[in-house]
Amino acid sequence: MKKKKQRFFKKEMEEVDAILPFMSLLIIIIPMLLSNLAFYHFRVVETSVPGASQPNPEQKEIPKKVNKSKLVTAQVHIDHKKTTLNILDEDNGAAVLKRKADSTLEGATKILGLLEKIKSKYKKLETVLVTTKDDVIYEKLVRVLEGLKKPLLGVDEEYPEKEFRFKVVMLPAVTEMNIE
Amino acid sequence: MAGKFTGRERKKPEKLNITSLMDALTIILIFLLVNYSEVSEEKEIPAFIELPQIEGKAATATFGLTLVIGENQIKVGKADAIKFSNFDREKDTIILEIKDQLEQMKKEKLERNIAGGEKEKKIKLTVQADRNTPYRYIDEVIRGASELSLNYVDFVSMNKEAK
Repeated sequence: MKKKKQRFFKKEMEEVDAILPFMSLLIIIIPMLLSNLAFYHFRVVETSVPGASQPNPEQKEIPKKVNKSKLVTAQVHIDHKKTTLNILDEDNGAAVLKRKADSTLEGATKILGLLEKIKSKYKKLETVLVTTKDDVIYEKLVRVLEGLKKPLLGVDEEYPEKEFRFKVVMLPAVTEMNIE
Repeated sequence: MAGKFTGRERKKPEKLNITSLMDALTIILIFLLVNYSEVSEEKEIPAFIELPQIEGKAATATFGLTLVIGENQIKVGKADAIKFSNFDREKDTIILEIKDQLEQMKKEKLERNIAGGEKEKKIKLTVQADRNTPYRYIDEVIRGASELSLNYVDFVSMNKEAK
């Protein structure tokens, strides 16, 4: 009987011994991972502001190419309730298109859909100029910008799988603006 | 005699069952590996702001020079917060102070980049603002920063998992 008991304990100890290295590894890995655990994830909307650059005197003047394709400028104005998209002809400044949507993520997504259509017609359109009313809160601004910066697929005909995002340039805030 | 223990009763050998413990640890390990943050630098959200939450896919966020804008204070990097009671009245002093701190941070960042052998990349300004901050606060600050050639601005929000 005594021998049987000893054999049982021996077998049990061998099982534990086999798992011990794995247990030790877990004890090291788990605290290490816990210390790096992300309890929240950040989102980032990339924009730029118009920067004034000094002309380089050493640089030779590059002759301007005559651009035969028609160019347009996309302007987005964010207000408390509505976000307005204005497409302007760069030659004469005339409004090509004017649309309004809610100042929400959904509204901005609608505007992005319009911009995508316009982009298919005017290939060189890559930048959206954004003006914001000065008392629009940060949350609203970020939601609209998130909508405008969503990736688009199939914009590049050569590489349809390549993601395209419009560049957003933040213009100075406006206190009052007559957009009608 | 019922209920009476006798010395002759054999004790069952105690068996340590670690299978369930191993299962639990393995699940924890998988969970931690999935949520592992690759960001080496810990980024905390200051207590004086509440970031807006936006639904969608999580993306990796890289931080530049951090600027935290709250209702009545602005914090540049790890420097002490600049407190104010009326932004519109005190904005000239606030912007001047922010510009000084940003210039210092930019210089340090460039020195670190050079020491680390990195090529001079564009230095971004990362704005974390309270969800109710009016845009004019942010606008004044980013205009000030653009005078220091900080022309790339990232607006930070928190990712809310899509349902």
